Amino acid sequence: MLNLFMFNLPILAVALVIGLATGRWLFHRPRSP
Amino acid sequence: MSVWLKLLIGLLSALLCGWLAHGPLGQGEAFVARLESRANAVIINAELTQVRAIFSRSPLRRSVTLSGPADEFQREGQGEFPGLNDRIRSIPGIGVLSWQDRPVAPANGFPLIVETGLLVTIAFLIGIALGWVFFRPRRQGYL
Repeated sequence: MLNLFMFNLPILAVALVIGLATGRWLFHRPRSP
Repeated sequence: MSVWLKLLIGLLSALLCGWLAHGPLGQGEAFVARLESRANAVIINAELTQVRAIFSRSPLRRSVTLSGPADEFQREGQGEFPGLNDRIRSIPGIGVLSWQDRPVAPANGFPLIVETGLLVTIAFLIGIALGWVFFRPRRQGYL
């Protein structure tokens, strides 16, 4: 499984970024003026 | 838009990228082809030229089925001398090993797309956790 993880590292990085963007979409609250 | 819907959209986007990489971009096939060439190299090294390593292509799996004539000693080895089974299993990334004349029960491992999807889901959830760490609402100071 570790070998599969290393082989798929680029796409897992993309999934991480998508997760990060989704997290920002979920949690970020713009500051009130 | 509800929280769950946003999570679902994000997860489906990540899984779509994982599927694209696995299938149309050929990463899945490349991984299995690499395992196959390493397995065949081990077989050639063991001088068992009539033995073949077969990987399922539909669906793609990391599991290998060996076919051809090999006696018990050649398959299992003895003492400190490893047999073909141990040599093939030592290849990084190999899944379940079985011989064609001795099918293994239960079925031979998950399809590679399922394993890839699982890794993508874990990476996505780690990204969500990082998003919470970096973007969660913080109490505003008054000074």
